Amino acid sequence: MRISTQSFYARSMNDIGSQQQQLFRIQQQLASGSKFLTPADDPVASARALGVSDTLAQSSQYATSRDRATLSLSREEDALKSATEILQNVKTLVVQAGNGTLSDADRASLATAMQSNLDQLVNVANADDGNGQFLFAGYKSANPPFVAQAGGGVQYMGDQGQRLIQVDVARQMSAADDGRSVFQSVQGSAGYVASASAANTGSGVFGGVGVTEGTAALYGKDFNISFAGGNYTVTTTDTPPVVAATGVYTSGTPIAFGGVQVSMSGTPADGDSFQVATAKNAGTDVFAAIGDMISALRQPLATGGPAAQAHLQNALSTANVKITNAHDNVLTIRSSVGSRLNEIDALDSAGGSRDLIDKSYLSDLQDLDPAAAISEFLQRQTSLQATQQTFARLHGISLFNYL
Amino acid sequence: MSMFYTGLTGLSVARSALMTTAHNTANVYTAGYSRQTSMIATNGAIGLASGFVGTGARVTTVARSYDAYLTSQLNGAEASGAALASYNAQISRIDSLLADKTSGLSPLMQSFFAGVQGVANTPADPAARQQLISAAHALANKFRATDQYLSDLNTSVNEQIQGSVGEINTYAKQIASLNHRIGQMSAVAGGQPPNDLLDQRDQLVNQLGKLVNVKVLEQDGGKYNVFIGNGQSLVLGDQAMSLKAGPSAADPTRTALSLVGINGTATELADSVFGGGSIGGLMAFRNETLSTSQNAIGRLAMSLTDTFNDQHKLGVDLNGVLGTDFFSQAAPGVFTNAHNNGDMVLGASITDTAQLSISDYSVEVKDVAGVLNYSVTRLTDKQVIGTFTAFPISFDGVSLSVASGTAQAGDRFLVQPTRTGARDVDVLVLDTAKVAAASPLIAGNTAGNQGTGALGAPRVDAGYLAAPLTAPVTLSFDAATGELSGFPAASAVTVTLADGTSTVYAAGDPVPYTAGASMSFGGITVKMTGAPADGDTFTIKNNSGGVSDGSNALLLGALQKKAVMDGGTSTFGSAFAQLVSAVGNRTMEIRTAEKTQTSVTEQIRASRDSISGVNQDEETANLLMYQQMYQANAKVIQTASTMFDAILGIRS
Repeated sequence: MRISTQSFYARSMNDIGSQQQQLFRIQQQLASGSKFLTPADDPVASARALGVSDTLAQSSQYATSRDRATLSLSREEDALKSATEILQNVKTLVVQAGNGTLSDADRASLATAMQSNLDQLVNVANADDGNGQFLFAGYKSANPPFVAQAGGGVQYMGDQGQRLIQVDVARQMSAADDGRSVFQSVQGSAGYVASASAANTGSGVFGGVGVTEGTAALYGKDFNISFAGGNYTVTTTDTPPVVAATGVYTSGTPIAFGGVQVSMSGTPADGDSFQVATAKNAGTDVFAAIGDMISALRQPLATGGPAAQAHLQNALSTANVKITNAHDNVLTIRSSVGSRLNEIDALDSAGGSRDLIDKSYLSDLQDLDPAAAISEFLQRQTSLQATQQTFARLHGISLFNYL
Repeated sequence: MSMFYTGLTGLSVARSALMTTAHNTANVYTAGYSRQTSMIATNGAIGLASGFVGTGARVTTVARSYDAYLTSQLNGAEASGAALASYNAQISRIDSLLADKTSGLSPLMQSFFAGVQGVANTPADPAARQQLISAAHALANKFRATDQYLSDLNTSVNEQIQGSVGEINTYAKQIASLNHRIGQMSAVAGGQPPNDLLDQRDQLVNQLGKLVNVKVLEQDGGKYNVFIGNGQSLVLGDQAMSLKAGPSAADPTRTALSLVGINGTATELADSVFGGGSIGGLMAFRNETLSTSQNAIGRLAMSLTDTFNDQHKLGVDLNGVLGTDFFSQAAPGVFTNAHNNGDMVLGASITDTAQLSISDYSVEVKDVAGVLNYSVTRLTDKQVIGTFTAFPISFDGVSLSVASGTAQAGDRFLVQPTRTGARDVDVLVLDTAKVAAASPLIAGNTAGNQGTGALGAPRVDAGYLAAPLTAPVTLSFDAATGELSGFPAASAVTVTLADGTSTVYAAGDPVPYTAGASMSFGGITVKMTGAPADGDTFTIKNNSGGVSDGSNALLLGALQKKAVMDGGTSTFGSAFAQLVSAVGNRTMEIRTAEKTQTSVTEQIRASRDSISGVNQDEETANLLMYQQMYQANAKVIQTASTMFDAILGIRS
């Protein structure tokens, strides 16, 4: 076969050119650290790498969201911790106020101390997230959720919106709790709360309310105990009322009705009445409970006689139970915040290990093995050198050399 | 005859052969040159009584070492090679565009959805909202830039076709003129072939073939007739036709080629008839890859903006107002064929972005027994997807209607539902307060509720927008009947249980309560859980002042993972990955085909060159050989002279 001189040169140049191209490619791969420079080099791996980096990007979104949820929940936890401490202070003050040897002035100063605690509690309930957004306002975070009313008391202006944050692929977590469920609710497990009518004129004082039979027919209803002629009548607050119990009143003997019993002492006057209501119906507003107590403490006893004494004692008992219920409620929410924070930690570590797997898969897909690439580079370099040398030799061979 | 004369013929043959060898040596690097050989034969002999005595040699012809079959094979191989090379050059540009890992569409979509998530996390934070708007701008810009890049590729393809036309016409004229000169020269030289002109003509055919695939037929008398496309003649003997480039009748954004006949009428040639040459490669590229890539990007943009807008409109902004379109949206394009006789103008609209394909469609009007039929063909798979007789015509998420005029049989239309989808993307929400991150409704229970019943966050669908709530809805539970009442008087309520069974309760009827069941009315869906007590009430009302509500942003963010394309099988990310993989695969195929074609071409060229090519060593050997021949024949003349002198010497 005749080798045309032209094609000898053309083919040699082609060969050298294509080898240089391959060398350049490996050089580019080494420079970029990537197996493929464009999708055409490995279409399947490129498409997969896109999918995996999508997953990784989403995972980092969730991580950012978890950071945000952690921040918000930690602030809530701080606020709830303060609220717990304040409520404990208030409970201590209630116990002090029950001391019968206190003078009106002593009680007034306790009332002042309690007022300061109430102010602090309102302040905590109106805590913001450091960015002007109120923690306990639900969605309406632009304005303070608890607003003092002209006639006393505090009203909740927020809503019940749950601020959900996407903390994982299929998990949305509430990053805040609304003020109503924190400060104006009680747990379902809270028991009965007894209270005395403000119009009572006798010296009847109630003690603790105990549950004797949770399955009784009327258990769970609200009750009214009224006294007339030394007898008591217990009716439900339904319309029309149902009589739950009647009997002769003996001071110190508990009155039992609808599965509960309440101890009574002192001498109730005719027409005096007491209410025994479920915690939910007795008024769940912790601010109102503290406020009621403050006004009870400010009532001077010196001129009131046994009726006034009974009033104070009953008011303190009611407030004590309500504040304990509120305290329990705050503690329950605190523990829910704590478990949410724990869950975030768990999701963080799960997300971290998922990321690790995805990253190593992504690296398998697209990262270059430098050792293999360098060895291929050297191999091709040798091959190019050989081609160049043989070309130079062949080029030198000519019939003219021998003429 | 004299020995002098015999020697002289030898000298002349040797000189001629040396000339040919010199010509070969001079043309060792001339493209398209075929090695020439002086064909030597004996002169007639003189018959004597003692036998025939030869009278020397002569050159009968100078022959060209040429194999017509190999030459045409080489032309074909080079035409295919040129097609693949131009295809590869273009598709590699799309391939590299999609390779961008840091600023490509994929990372920008990711950061856009990260922005949405940011708003969901801190809806009241204007910085988060601003970040979303900025990320949306970046994404919209990228869509437009990607589209621009692909449109520029189309323009560049148009320009290359336009530019090649001049070259093709020049080659055609030169071939026709060589046809003429070859005939002339051959006649003058008494039928001897004008080898160098023949080589030139073959070289021109080869050059022409690299631009556009041609067929050559040699007619009697050795003239070349050159045909283009599927048999249209470009050169007929001494006559050359010409090509013209101009906007295609079907799609004016594309340059098509027309053949101008002898009588001056131009006939547009379909892209599909160009199978080879760089023009064939360009046309295949724009039909197979460019349009589908641009459609795929457009479809992605349309789907994303449409689904995002739909969800955004179901939320409320910081002022409690229902959201508006977040992105602007492109409309499908319809081109009326320039050759249409009727004056019908079609309008197209998108009905369902989930059903959109990445194809273009052609609509052809046919007269079937006096009734106009509209036959729709999907161009990617050439599938007739339906024949319609009345408008609106709906297919693949697109609806066609008549804007004006009437059609005539034979009219054609080109529908491009997604071509400009990415070109027209822009962000419409520029005010941070207008990002509709919140849900329009909020649910709550009344403070004194005894039971544990809890109403979940209400969700709204497109049906809600027709009649948004004007007054709060208060649901109350009756323990005696176990029913909820208080639904809006005009709305029927559909209750769907966890197992998927649903029951419809007429408007005004109370609805039995099932924990965990979802209740839908007037475009609102709520789910209640727990055990409500008798008389417990629950409210659903407008969400006013809910600045920290990010629930609609959560739904917007969820679109990233939702399969909303390809009939609900692909997410935005996977639709983009499909494009990357399709272009990547096609590029790889083309590259492999080009490599294979190059080696095939090399082999054919080697075969051709082994016949037609010049080898310098061979010529050198010939040079020595014919030089010696010359010297030997000179010696013959010297010998004859010596003999003659000897005879003269006898007398003296």
